[in-house]
Amino acid sequence: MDGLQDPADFLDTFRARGAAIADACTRCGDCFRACPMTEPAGIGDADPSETAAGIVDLITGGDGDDAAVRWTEACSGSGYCIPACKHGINPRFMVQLARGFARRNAGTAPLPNRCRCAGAMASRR
Amino acid sequence: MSRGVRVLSRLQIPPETLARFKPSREERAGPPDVVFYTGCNVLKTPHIALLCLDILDLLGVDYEVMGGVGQCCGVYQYRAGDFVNNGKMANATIDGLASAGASTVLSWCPSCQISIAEVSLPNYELQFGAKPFDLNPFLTFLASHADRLAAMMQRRVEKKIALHERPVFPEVMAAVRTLLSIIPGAELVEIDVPRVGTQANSLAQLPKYKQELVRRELAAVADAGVTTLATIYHACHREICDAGDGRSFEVVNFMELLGEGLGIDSEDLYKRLKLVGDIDAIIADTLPLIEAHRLDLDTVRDALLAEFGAK
Repeated sequence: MDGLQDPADFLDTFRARGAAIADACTRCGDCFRACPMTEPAGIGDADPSETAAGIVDLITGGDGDDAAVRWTEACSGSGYCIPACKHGINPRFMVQLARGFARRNAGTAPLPNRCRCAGAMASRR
Repeated sequence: MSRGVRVLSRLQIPPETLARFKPSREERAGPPDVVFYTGCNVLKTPHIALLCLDILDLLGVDYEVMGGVGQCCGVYQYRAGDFVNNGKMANATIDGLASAGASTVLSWCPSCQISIAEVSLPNYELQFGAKPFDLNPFLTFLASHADRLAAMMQRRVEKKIALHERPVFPEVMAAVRTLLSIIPGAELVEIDVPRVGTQANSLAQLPKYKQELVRRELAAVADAGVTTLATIYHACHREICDAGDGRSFEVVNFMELLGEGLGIDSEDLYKRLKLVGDIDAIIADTLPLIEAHRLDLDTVRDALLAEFGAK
């Protein structure tokens, strides 16, 4: 198997995983509540549910909102969000994937062919 | 980053020791038991990685070593949202690691563990239908051999030890506690401070918060009357390895304690260089290794300035 053959598929796979997370996520905000970085990052008063929805928006081709983008930048990978999620999602992956999409949105190489398609694959660690 | 790793590792160990971090060139009868994947930056503190190899040798594990800046996990591209180059780098590294034929790869670095196990291997599996190996933290692998390691202990390590913990992988912290419990004489002292992040560098975006966490921890460690603060991960170690200077406790890496119990000598040369501080003095101190590795002096100076700053 040669993983070098299809590097563009890597982006498509992220899109598919993002879509699957969007299907599984209820936007309950428990991941946000479990995060130790929200207060230090100045978003402790943000609405957990709305911020989680902003993250899902980012990983499905949207722009999210200011709190969501700030959360992605502040994520330090602690992982307290993982056992907090009752829906089989790895929120650490979700938030850090959203950071990449947010930086693509803000950068000089805008995300081509933005995708909001549903998928069947999920990150369920 | 690659220049820093290349230079810092070479200022601490001779070429023949550095060769231990390269895949063996000998023909194998079969695949190794495991691959030890160093990642990139642990080689700035090579004594940590060498202790890992020494302990694998003690256990009689058949392993190959892979990693270095040419086998990056792809985290830098991933963080930047450069997903195409992230995919190129990560898939090439996965293919390289898979080429050894082992079903288990052991990672030292928690950033690599996240980047490959949570990000790239699932992508690879979705792209190609299967993942070629499982990636597991090295310390959990060691803890699974705790009974054998306990029987190999040679020295008492009479120290009261606090851990510089990271919550990134709870199973790794559990493994550290298991391994600490088998070191004769070692006493764990729990410190009640917030635990945040993957490694020290994961908090770089909030420097004041990070400094406050470190300040609180060092104060709590001093108040607890311990002899030793033990770092777990290499990036944390680089940041606070000199923090014992002028304080009532030493700062060592956890692997040094395990090695000490097992009778393996090691020296934290990174800490020694950091404590020297002065770039010219470091160059004078490491001149034989600079010559042995045929390093360019300007390159060395630039790398040292980037790592330690000017004093």
